[in-house]
Amino acid sequence: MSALTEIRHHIRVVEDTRKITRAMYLISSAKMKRAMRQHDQNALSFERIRSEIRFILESIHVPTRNPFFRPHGDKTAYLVIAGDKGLCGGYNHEILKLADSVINKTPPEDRSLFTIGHMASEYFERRGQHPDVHYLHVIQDPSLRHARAITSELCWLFTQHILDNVYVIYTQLDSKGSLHATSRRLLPILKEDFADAAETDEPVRVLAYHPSRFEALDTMVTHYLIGWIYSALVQANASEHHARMNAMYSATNNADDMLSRLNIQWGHARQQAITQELTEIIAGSGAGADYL
Amino acid sequence: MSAFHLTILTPEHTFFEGAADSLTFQTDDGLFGVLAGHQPEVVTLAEGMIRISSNGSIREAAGSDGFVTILPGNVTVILQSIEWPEDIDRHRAEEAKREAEEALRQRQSLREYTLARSMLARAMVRLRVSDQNRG
Repeated sequence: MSALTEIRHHIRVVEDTRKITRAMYLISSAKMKRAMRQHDQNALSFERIRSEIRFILESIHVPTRNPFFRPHGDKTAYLVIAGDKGLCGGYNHEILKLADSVINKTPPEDRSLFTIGHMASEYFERRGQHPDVHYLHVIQDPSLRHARAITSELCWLFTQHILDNVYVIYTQLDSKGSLHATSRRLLPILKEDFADAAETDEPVRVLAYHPSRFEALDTMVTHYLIGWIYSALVQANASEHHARMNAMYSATNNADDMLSRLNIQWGHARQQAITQELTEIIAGSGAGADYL
Repeated sequence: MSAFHLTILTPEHTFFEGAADSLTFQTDDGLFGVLAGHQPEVVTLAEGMIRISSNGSIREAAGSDGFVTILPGNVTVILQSIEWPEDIDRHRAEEAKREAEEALRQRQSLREYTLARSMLARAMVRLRVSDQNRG
């Protein structure tokens, strides 16, 4: 096969690949924007709830009777959130590496494993640690309904003392666009969790509570937990798409570099071939002239 | 009638934001009404009808449980979900439909992903082989 067809073929392969990576880049960037919008909307009510809870906690001097504030025992559950798919740079690797090291600090008899995303469940299954619970069809399009279902399950297990601690291992996306794999405690709730909540800005906060501040707190805590899980889900989703977007962006750029190199090569090869042909024709006509 | 600023938030959307004349909602021990100048209070909201009077018109919406923070001139309602009556059936039906489609789509999407991945892998192999053969 001549160098020309070989390079042509090479160019076509790179072009096809570039089409895939470019499409994936566009899809991921749209999905990431959507997830960020979900996150920002949730943050509006979530931060309100946190400052209300902080206000109540600071105004009562007795330990609350809300069950989610009460620490007990060592049985720890880890909820690991990874993606359903790969092709997103180090995203899945980073979070699963962290999950692995965090989980192994708890002895196997005390720990249970919850996973979201195929990559997470496959990873642990390969290592012989079968997830106790795997939530299907959640991470590609996290909704409030999923968050409610997951939260109520975890809360039920907590109040039944089947679980004593709940940690969620997921990826946060900060405002500067960098990813942080983190492990954060969901349950039990501690007063410190609200230390960074915005202080309620109104100067007069001598509030009455109806029917009582404890009941108000119970309602807020439920909403807080759901908001927390929802926020983790949409952040993990946004992070995954962010990582995929970057991976596909650089893949597309690499393809562009490769294409421009190949085009130059192709030009050279073509020129060479033409020169060769010309030489042959001229040589041929020269040789033929002798006979004329 | 004097007005106050009313904000109704769910984790998914801002349902209402603007001036309102009165707000009536369900609590565990009956209906609770808020007018401008109400004393500062935090009220636990029970599932039920929420009546909003704003700009002379009165509208009712169906809400989940939640809580209402009443501050001078500012009332914030935070709940899980709230819908206008005309959206209820549609929402429910749409959600059921979306769920079914979503389950299908995710299965589909995983298949397409496997396909795309193998396409990329094939392309990579071709590249590597052609690179090697050119030395």
